[in-house]
Formats: sequence, C-alpha cells, structure tokens
Amino acid sequence: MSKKRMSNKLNVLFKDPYRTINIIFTGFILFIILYSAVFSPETNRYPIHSAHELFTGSSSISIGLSRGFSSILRLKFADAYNYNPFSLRIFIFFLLQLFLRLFFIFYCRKSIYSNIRYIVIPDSIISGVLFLIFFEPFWRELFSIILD
Amino acid sequence: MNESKNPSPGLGLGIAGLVLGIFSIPLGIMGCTFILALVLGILGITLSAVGYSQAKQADASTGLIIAALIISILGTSFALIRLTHSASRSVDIFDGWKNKLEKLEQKSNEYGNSFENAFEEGFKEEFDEDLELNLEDLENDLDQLEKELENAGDEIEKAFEDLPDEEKARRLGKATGKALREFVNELQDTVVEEKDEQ
Repeated sequence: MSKKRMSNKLNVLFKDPYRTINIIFTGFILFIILYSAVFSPETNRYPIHSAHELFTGSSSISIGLSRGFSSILRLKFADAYNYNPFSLRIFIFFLLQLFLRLFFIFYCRKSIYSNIRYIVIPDSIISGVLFLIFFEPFWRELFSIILD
Repeated sequence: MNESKNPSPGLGLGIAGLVLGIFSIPLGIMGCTFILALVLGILGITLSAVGYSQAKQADASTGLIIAALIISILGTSFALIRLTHSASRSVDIFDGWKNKLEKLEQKSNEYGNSFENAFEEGFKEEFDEDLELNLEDLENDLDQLEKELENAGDEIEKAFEDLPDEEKARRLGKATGKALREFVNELQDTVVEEKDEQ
C-alpha cells in the first residue's frame, strides 16, 4: 500500500518535464555543495583536475574554484578569494539557482498546469540573465580567445 | 494502451539532452572543465537528436527537444573553443621546448668539439706527443701484457703436468686457502673503513 502511494507520489513529481528538470538541477547544485564540503583545500584531494593545466602546464581563469567553494563553506572568505577571485560570485549564482529551483518546484505544484509557459519563460530569462552577469569574467575571457 | 504509457515520444531523451546541454555551458566556458563539458555536450546532442527523430516519427511536439539540441550545440562549441585554445598553447609550449632542446644540443656539440681540440692541443704541448700515437702505444702495451699473461698460464699448466695428483691437490688447497685469507682480510678492512666513515 505504502509502496503504491510512494510510486504515485513519484509519478506526480516527475510527470511534468519542467519539474523534472528543476529536481535534477537541485540535485546537481546540492551535489556541488556536498563535493565542496567533503573535500578541503588543506588535504587537496579533489578528484577533478584542471584540463587546461594538464594541456599547457599553466593556470586558467577557473583554477581554484573547487578550493574556493570549500573555503566559502568553511566561512574562510579571504582564502576563497585567494584561491579564485571569482569563486564567491559563482557560489552565489549556484545558491540563487538553488533557491530558484526550489521555488519553482513548489510553485509548480500549486499552480495550474495550463499556465506552465508563464513560469518557464520568466525562469529561463531570469536564469539566463543571472548566468550572464555572474559568469561575466569567464565570458569576457572566452570572447578574448575567440577574437585572438 | 501504448499511447497512455508513452504520451510524448522523445520527450525523456529531450529532457536528458537539455539537462546535459545546460550543464555543458558553464563547464564549457570555464577553463578547467572543458573536457567534461565536451563529453556532456556531445551526449546532449546525441540524445536530443534521437529524441527529435522519435518525436518527429510520432508527430509529437518538438519544442523542448530543439531547445535541448541548440543548448547542447552551444555548450559543445564553447568546450571546443577552449580545447582548441589549450591545444594550440600546448603546441606553442612544445615547440618552444623543442627549439630550446635543439639549441642546447647544438651548444653541447660546439662545446664538445672545442673541448676535444683544446685537450688534443694541451696534450701535445704537455707531453710533446700526439694523443693518437700515445693511445696506440697504450694499446700495444696492453696486447703485450695479455700475451705475457697467456704465457704465464701455459707455464703454470706445464708445471702442474709433471706433479703427482696428491701434490697438485696440496698446492691447490694451499693456494686457495691463501686467496681466501686475503679475501677475508680485505673484506674486514672494507667493513672497518665503512664503519669509520659512518
């Protein structure tokens, strides 16, 4: 009985593609937070290494982001800045996205599904603009590469 | 019955493609994670393309799937730009090192030649002899020494031939004992020297 109820709840939860995507993103952001909490700059055993450094031997604009996130979670903001000056703004972007995803998951549950477009379009615009603003140094660097 | 099970064909693949495509964009614009972005982007394109063909066959809606395809292509493009940039830089670095190594080899050859000439000249001045001639003399001396050793070996064999077996065994035993004693003494000296050094 409880299994059936559980399966029904899951079916309702994943029935709407928009909500499914929001749940996946929430999981992804929580995974990033967990990853940053588990690994610490002191031990420096992060499993993901810089591909740019691997290719060229030199550091890139995003180097130190994982260590920066870990430092932010440990409230060592000065350390985070030293590891990567953009780590705080990227972390804030992920936090904002987490709140947005949770808001839209719960908002969708109460809303009427015929109006889903009125939720998806503003969400896409807000997320896109936030992405452009918070990742601005990375965009700038990418375009300088293209122009070179 | 089938329609109720799968009301919108390709939608699941489209969602997967969209998620992978969205992941690939930030990972692609960051310098460190472009390989991951490339993998996710290519997966996103593949899933979206399969989803699109399924949706087209069933005449279902393709809006989300096309969005997934576009976003995956964007993420893959950013990752490719990063990859090309890193690869070109690594080629530049490799070329730089190659040039440096070639220069080093050239310099070492030059130094080697000049050292050889200087040594030959110095040798001539010091001993008033040609180095090559001197080396030939040394080789001749070595050949002579080798011949003498062979002769000495033959003489020992001849001396042993005339002796009875018991005498041969006695002398061999004595010589072996003497050699062993010398070996043990040398070994002890070496151990003592090493201890002193420590």
